[in-house]
Amino acid sequence: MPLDPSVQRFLRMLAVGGFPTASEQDPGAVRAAFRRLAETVDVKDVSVERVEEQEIPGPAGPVPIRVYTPITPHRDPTPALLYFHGGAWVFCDLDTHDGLCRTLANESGCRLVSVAYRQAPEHKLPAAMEDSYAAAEWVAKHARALDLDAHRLAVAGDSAGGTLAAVVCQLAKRRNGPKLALQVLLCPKTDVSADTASRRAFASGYFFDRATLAWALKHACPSELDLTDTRLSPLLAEDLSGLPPAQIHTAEFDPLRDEGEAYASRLAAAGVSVRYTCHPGMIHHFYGMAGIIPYAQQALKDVGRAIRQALA
Amino acid sequence: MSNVSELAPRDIILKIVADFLARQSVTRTIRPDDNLRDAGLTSMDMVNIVLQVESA
Repeated sequence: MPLDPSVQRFLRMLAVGGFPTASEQDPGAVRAAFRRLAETVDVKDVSVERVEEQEIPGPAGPVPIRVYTPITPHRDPTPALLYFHGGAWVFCDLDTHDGLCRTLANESGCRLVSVAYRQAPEHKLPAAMEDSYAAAEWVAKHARALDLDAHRLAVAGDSAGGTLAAVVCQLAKRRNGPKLALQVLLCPKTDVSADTASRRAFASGYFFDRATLAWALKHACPSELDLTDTRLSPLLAEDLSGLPPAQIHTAEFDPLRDEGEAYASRLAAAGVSVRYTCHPGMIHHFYGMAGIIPYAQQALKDVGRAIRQALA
Repeated sequence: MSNVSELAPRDIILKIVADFLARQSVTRTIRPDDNLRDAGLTSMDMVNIVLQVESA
């Protein structure tokens, strides 16, 4: 299928004038530019029942979270959806993914907990993974007090946040941690060392490119961290059996498409229940651009409804 | 102050860019032949500006 017309339009706008891309800037400039972009392209005016900000204890200090209560939740106790935003572990934040989280909360019926894990380069990996895992442990431990169903705790994330969600599931299994009911991965990085056909085919010109990934790894990875470390590359874990059921979404024109599909295949081969969807005509981060990509609006709602069904 | 709808296309674009930069605390006079790279604009910013130009 060709690129969706609204995606084509976005890519043309992105290329106007040959202005610097993310990989040509410092992290502070990219964070600011992405915040400005999200104000325009993220879905807006999505009402939820309630939004609360708080901090929870993390391994190196407080971790801010934002809790979204949906308009029509599941019956009490409500299932919880822990969400890790993307941004290559360097940029994006709770605000850049606010519309996405509101939509997922409403459509899934879950109380959604969006986690502001520590980011690079100030905090190199695996700080993001340890904060994310700590957040899962905290929500599981405080489920009753939060009126959440500890038996229906799901994790989700997009891009680098999808990696975090996958890694949290693997760490929970390895450390005998919280029992997770579902993992939802939107265009995840699952092997940062990969050289796949999709990475080669969409190396540049499709928003998230090879240069940006290399730039992010340069900022995020300490020299001693091997790119094949399973906290960075969960696809390379030897044993994927016993992990939570998975809903994995990729985009046809995303460099990360093949590694997302490979993770779905390996999970299924290990006996994990997997629902895999490759979104035709879409690029990386399409789910975060529902404000300008009509397909993404419906796709995001469908992602949420599938979560609702899985946790019913 | 001029209403955007009363301006010529070139002036509309200049106003949109100037307003965009002002929100980034960049206060400078923008001329048609300015290189906006020097003002710190990025490819992602161009999406915002083009969308605003389209809707003006």
